[in-house]
Amino acid sequence: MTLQGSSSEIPELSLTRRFFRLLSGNFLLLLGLLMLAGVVSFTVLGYLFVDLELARLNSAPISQPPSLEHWFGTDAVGRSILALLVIGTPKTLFIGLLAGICGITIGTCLGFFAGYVRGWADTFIRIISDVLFVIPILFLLVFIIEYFPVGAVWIMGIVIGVLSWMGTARTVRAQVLTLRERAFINMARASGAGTWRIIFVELMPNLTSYLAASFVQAVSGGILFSIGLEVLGLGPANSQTLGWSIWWANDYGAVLRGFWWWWGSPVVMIVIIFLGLFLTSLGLDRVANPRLRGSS
Amino acid sequence: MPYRIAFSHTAPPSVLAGIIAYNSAHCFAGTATQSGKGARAERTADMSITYLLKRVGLFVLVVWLGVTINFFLPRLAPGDPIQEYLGQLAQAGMFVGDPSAGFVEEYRAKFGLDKPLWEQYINYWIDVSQFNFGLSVVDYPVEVTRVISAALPWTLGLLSIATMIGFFLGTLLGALMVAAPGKWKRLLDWSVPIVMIVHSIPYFLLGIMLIALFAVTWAFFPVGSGYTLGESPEFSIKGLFTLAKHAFLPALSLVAVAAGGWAIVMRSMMVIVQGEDYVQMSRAMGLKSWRVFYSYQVRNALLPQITFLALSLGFIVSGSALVEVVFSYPGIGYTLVNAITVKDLPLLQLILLVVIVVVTLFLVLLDIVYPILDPRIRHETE
Amino acid sequence: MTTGNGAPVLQVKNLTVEYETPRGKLRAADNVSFELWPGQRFGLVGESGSGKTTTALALMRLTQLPGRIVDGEVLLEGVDLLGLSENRMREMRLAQISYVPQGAMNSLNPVMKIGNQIANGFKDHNTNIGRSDISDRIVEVLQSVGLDPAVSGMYPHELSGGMKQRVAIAIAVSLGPKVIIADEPTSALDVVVQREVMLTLRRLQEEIDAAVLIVGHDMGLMAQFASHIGVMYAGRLVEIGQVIDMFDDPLHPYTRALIASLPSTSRRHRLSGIPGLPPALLELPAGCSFNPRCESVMDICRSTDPDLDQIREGRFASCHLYTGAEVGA
Repeated sequence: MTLQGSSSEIPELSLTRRFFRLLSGNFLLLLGLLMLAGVVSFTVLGYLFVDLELARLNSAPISQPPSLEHWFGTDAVGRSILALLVIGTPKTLFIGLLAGICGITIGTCLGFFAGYVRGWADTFIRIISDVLFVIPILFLLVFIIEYFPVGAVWIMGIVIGVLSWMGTARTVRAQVLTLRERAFINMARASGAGTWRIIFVELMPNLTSYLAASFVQAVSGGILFSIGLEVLGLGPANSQTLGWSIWWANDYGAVLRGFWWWWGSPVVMIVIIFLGLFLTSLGLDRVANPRLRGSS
Repeated sequence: MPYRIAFSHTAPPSVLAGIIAYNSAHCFAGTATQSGKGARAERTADMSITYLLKRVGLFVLVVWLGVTINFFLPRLAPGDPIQEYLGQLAQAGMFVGDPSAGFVEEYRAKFGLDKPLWEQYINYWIDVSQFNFGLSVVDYPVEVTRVISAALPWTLGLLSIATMIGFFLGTLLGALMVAAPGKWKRLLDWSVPIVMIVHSIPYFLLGIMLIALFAVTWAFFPVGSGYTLGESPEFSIKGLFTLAKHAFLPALSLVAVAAGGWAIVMRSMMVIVQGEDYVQMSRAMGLKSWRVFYSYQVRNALLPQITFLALSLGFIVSGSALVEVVFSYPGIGYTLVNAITVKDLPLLQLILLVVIVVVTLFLVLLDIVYPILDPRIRHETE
Repeated sequence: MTTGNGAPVLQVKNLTVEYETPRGKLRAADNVSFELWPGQRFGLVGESGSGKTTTALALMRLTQLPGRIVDGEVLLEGVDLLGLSENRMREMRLAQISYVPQGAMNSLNPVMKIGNQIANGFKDHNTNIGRSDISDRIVEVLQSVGLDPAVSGMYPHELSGGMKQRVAIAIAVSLGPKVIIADEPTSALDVVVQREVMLTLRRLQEEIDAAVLIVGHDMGLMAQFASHIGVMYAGRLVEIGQVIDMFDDPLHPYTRALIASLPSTSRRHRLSGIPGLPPALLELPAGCSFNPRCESVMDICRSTDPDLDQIREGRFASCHLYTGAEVGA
């Protein structure tokens, strides 16, 4: 049977309204974003109200447990843990963001290219990604970072990003391959739309929530990378990130000596960041994949 | 080392599912094309030989590439390992001989670093083919093969057991989270947030917490190392107990985090599989619920898990650095970090080679095993 | 409704299925009542979203959350399926009431050989077939749907869509059920294969004298296959009758419109569609759900919902045009 009827008008919602509607039905996303907002406001408030001079060596009494004066205690080299957290959190987040942006940009471009052009481009990109995949990135990172020994937090971020685009590229490629077979792409092609027009006007909107989830994941992967390196004592030394705080604590035997506030504070901060990112990516994933919404 | 977890750590399930769907066993294979009509079972047999050859060929290629990159990378890095090594020894107050250039040159010649790069490369290959990987700079004059073979059992023992336990527990938990009968499911619903929280803690941080709690505050377990210090493991009940006691906390930190990851991915695969027509069909056929659960849901949801299991087994050797450093466990990872900080070239190169060979080996193994588990793959190879 | 002999094999009374949605409850099947007689082929027709698949699944108690069967009875030879324990119901499926799924492409387990999938049906039900006889039965069943016994050792991806649907039919008839529910069994197939599959289903159904409930949206295909038709609209059954009778004299304005929209070779007329769109189940109009699209709408249609009444022998309709004309229900 054929149906003839007027297409019903869907009222256009403003961007903010749509954002809040998205949040209201998505508890995971809301919780994740709230946690991240908490971390950011901690940093902002810290920069406004905390004396950051206390992050210098010997600027505070050594190895003090939390007190009214030093809320998070001090470490064995006379630094306030609170000041270290305030300085370290944005640096760690910055590395993650930078790594995420680089990784997602490269990954998306290559993934689109491989998935859309296919053939030689696909093969070439897959070989590069396979090789990068097999060779432990840790080694590459260590040697690249050796070239830029001083104050290289941003270089660390970029390097991690450049070396971790493979997952995104594969995913985007897979998505493009599925999407390009769908009817509306064929329609667009039949109506004579050019390749780039198809990519940006037809494919992109379908991938946005998906890319958002991958981005959050890439940020979290970047942070994990950098913290892992720092805890091993590798990478740009003394950049006062959260990872280095843990390295210091580990190096001074804070765990064995029972200085729980020293190693505990950066660990808790990192866990909050990861949990926030993880919940956000799960929430976004649920937007991208309605199938997962079912059982929650 | 963050490599292994970076892969499965915070990736949202469907991102993983996306990777899986199109790259599942095909780390090297081509695009999946659903074969349309007709029976082509007979072709499977003669196809498998070319399939196998292709896999092995790629294995050789990757190992060659790996060895080459492995050879060049350390040499491109700035800093002179010999100078640094002598400097370190001098700092430690050791006698390093006459610090004139002649002495340094002698060391250089000993490690073959004075020859042109191409000659070093050829020599490197000759050495590799003879399993002669040179002497360690750190443990001079011990052969690096001996350094590695002393460290390898520790890592393999700890990591492979922890990986397998994590895999089985996590997969089972993830499957039950979706398909457990009524009241059990309600109980398991509570485990979801706990699993998520544990899973989002990087495992080396969990390790630090575990040491603080169970080795320092309550001294149930030793704070580190693989065995009682100063003793070597003996094969007795007491010896095994000591081994287990030392391995427990590092294993627990690995298992807890990894199991969470397996559970989360398995859970979302189960959700996806549960919506498949064949699961509905199995219920409509009135099959017993354990059969629906095992043969229809788990069996299909497990396929991508197998891919990731092979990957994580492949990354065992390189994935151990952080946990071994935190627990001062005498495995490959610990050796690796030392080798990196000291720039012990011969040792680094051998570790890298082992890592690359093991990873590639597992990927090839996966490519060979996977078609047995998923018959659809057999037809996509050509 | 009267056909056949003796008692109806399946009686559905006031079956109501509700879905819990964030914006409220919706009734995907509302007070659905009909009967199936042995050997009868009953076609359930309607637009997508009219509740036909919901009804079919509810008969097998396969409704999944957030959907729930909230009311009604499904009597299979007098036994209320909705009152059985979960395990008793499981045993009824396939053995007494079986299912031919909609998606021919994905309804078989991709990692299991066809033979094993058929065997599972035998194994999990109380049949008198010994383990050793199962393989013989699999061959029989495959041959009965016109497939080579070698198919038994193949995997689903090695079969064409038509072959897979034949396997699905083979499974559905393997235990000789009293009722077969076929949910758009041919929707994914091309026209020629469609016809073959339908003929196979029909032949087997006649052989084992099962009643078939076939769900579809294609009035034309239904007319060829079914002996009786029920028309669904917005979760309600609006008309029931014999095929020929219904095509000759459609009672409900919706049925009329459906039939008029079919291309015909004998009559020359412009193809007409049904004006308007099917209503959203959450925002059903007051009164008769069809009233905004109805040609013969009256005042009462906007306020009162008509009941499904017997209009004459074997014909039921729920429409105010016939209120007062019924022959006592």
